[in-house]
Amino acid sequence: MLKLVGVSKVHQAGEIQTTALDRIDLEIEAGEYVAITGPSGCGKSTMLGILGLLDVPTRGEYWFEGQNIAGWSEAQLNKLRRGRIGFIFQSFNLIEELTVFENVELALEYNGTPARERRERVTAMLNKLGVGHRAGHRPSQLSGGQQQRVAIARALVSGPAVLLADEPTGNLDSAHGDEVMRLLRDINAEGTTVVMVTHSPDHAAQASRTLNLLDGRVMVDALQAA
Amino acid sequence: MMLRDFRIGWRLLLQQPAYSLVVIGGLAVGFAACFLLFGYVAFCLNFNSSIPDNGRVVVVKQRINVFPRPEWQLWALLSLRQVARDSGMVDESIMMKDIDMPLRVGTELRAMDFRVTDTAFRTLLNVHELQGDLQAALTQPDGLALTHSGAAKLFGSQSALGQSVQAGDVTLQVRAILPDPAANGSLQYEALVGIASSAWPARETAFTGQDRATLFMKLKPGASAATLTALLQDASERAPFNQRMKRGSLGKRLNGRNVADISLLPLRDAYFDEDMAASRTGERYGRRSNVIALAAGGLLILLLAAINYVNLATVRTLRRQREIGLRKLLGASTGQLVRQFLSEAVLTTMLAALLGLMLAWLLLPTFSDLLNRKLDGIFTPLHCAIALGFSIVIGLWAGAYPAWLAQHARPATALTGRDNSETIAGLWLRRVLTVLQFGSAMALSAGTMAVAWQTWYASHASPGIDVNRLLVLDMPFDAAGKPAADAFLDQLRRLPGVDAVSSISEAVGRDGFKLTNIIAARDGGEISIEAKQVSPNWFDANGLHAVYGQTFNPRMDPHDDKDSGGVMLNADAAIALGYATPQEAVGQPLPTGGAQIIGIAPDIRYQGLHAPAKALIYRVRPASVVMLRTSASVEQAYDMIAPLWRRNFPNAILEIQTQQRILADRYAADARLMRILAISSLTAIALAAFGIYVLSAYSVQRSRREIVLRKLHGAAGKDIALMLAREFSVLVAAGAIIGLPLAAVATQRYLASYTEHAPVGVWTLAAALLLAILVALLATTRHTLTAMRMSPALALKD
Repeated sequence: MLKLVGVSKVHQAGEIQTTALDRIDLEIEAGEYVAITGPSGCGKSTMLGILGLLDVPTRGEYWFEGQNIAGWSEAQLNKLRRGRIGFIFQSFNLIEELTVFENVELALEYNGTPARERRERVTAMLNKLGVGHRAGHRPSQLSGGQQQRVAIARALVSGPAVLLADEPTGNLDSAHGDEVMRLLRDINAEGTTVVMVTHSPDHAAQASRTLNLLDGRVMVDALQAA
Repeated sequence: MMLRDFRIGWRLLLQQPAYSLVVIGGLAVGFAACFLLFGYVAFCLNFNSSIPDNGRVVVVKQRINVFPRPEWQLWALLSLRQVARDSGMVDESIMMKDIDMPLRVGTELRAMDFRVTDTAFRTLLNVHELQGDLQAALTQPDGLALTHSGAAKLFGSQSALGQSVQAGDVTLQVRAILPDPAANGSLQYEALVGIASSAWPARETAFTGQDRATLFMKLKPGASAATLTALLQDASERAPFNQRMKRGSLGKRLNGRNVADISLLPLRDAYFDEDMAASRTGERYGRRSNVIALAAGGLLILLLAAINYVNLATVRTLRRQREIGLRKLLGASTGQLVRQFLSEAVLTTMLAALLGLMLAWLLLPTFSDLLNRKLDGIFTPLHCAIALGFSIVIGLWAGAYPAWLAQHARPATALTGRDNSETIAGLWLRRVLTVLQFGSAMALSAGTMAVAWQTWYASHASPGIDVNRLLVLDMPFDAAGKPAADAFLDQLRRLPGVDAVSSISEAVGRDGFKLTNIIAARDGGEISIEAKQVSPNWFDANGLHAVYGQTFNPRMDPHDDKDSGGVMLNADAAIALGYATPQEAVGQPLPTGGAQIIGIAPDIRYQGLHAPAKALIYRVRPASVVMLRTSASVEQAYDMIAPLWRRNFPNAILEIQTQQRILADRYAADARLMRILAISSLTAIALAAFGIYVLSAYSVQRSRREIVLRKLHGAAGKDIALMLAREFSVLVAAGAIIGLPLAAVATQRYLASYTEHAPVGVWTLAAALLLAILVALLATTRHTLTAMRMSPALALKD
């Protein structure tokens, strides 16, 4: 489903070049649950950005559902990403000016979903994640765990094939963190491919496959028992 | 505030030169506009303040009720001067009157503000000569007093005292040099002679006949103006001339009113006198409401500029959260923090005020020209000090909100670099301010367009005669019908390139000399009708044909004062005389004098579009306004005519104008209003554009997360552009809701002063809205493009 072939990403700041990813070869099949771990600065977020079509490799090929996206414009990537990739962030990235409902609805606004269907799907998704009763609230009126549930609802409402999660439990206490991890397992069990960046070995252990990065290279690629 | 706070503020201004330039420049424009407009307000409010006891010094106002259009004038029977003196109620009573005569030094003739007055002039107005002896200048028959600028006009840098000046055939000697009268005063003069002067042709008869002049009186302390008015009113009605009027046929039409109403106007209140503002000389007066509106306009421009400063300073304060957090962490108290921000604001506004004063100084000549007032006196040390003091107040006011924001910053949040933006209420406040800016800009630009359109329409509306190749010149007023005038007209006709020469008592489009005839109507009553005295060829020379009947025979004797060739009426006059239709009047004799009505003249817009056509009678008589149809330019005509002029009128100055120029001058006040509005609206538009530019910068910065997330979820660039456009279009729409109805009402009121108006409709409002949209689009483009280019990958970096 996702395939990186010799992918490198070099950041240029003035005369200084920093290699964030170094000749990565990686294939992720549909339905996998992949955890990416490694120390700060090892290239985890860069890899997530490339996998999520938010960034393009400096070298190498990236095949997304059978299409090589090398050389694609931002508009093309945008179109490809629309409704097919969901994102969850450590800082939730909810918009304070919008209600919970509107935050989730945002994910359906740009893929042509009719308003009525949007309402139904958002309501269903919020109910599924147990925050339906908070639909009219502002994000700041919710607890951290509830905010992350809303963020997950937004990531899933368009029915993406891939869910990319960047430290989804980083801003949560352990109880709420465990709850989010359980949700991710359930989502994966329903068939969604999940790629998660995490610092937590415990949370990484819950994935079906673990990638350990160091200095932009994959040091360990291990399958784990479910 | 401490010097250290100002030093930090100064450093900040130097660190960000573009920001400083924009903020100080914008505020300086506001200060300059405010200073100039408030200077004008001071000019109006201090009118005649240079005259001592100006509440007790009054000028006599008169309204002659037998005229077709009775209006007030500062002109009354000279005999009232003595009546006031005899009443014992006045300290002084003086007359002042124009002498319509240029002054000559050597071969140079100069048009001067030349007046005759009493010797008590000096005590009444407390005038002290700079050189010479004013008493001698006003008592000697050959005496002359010149003002400082009058002397410079005649003699340049040469000393004028003791020099000879020619007034017609009389030689005068300069015996005193006076200071220039205050520009904001009722009394304006450049040259003065006394009532015994040999240069005043009416000196022998003026006080025994029915002459009129401007009369000034200084009431004794405690004297009742009402009692004196009643006394003068009674004397006026008893004057032989007015008695004759009252007993005559006109008296019947007065219905118990006075022949002439008399009123006393204190000089202190002269500028805002509504009667005078509504008169033919109304341009010299002001309406309190207009002056207040201009002052409000000045404040508005300053407010718009200050709003921009508040907006920009707010954005900058939000960007300085880390610095503010650190200051708080290091123990800065609320007071210290607020003081620092207020000092920065005050420094900015004071610098802007200094720049604004310089700008105002540069713009003063243009501004004086726009308002048609001499405003040189507004730059006084006191006014400049007030402006700087005012800038401190504005600085404190404009700096209050950024200071409040800084004081409320949370140090922990600021230091971790997390969001610490202003409150929703703050954002709404700034949106409301932007709406006000756009509302003002739209109201002003719609108003400007309406005035410009109507002025163009009115000044280009056909006056009823063909104005092409038509030049106008005035012969000396008393020359008409005299041999020199006849010879001059005859010589003009023989000039090469001159197609036609005709004459009329007053130029088309000029509201100066008026003649009123009393004519018996068919029902036996008498009506007063304005008369135009024309040469017999006037209609033919100007390509005019009778609507009914015929025009005058061009071969008639121009000196025929018996109407033997008949008279012409316009349609209104025929109806006013009692004919059922204008056509019916043709061929009928006038009940008075029996002259035959030979034709009905076409309507000509003598008063432009400001006044409707009125009843007119045309008679053949010598007249002093010459209309010349020629293909020559004004300069060429001057070269051709000057030798003839000098030969026939050696003591008069030749001035030639195009007829089109005279018509355009009729709308000079409208053109000036248009220019004032245009400058104000350009300023307002620029400030509004800047305001929305700053707001868009802040909105994009503030909505960064939303924009990035929307892009992450598939929003294309155009979706982001639409999102921002929605926000800004709501602001413009709200501005339109406030500004356009105001503009519509103002436009309607303005157009009501015209008898005909351009098809303004809603076009000016629509154009103002379009302009505002265009300005908003241009001003927000930069930050909209920035938002459209934001990478969704930024979501991972938050």
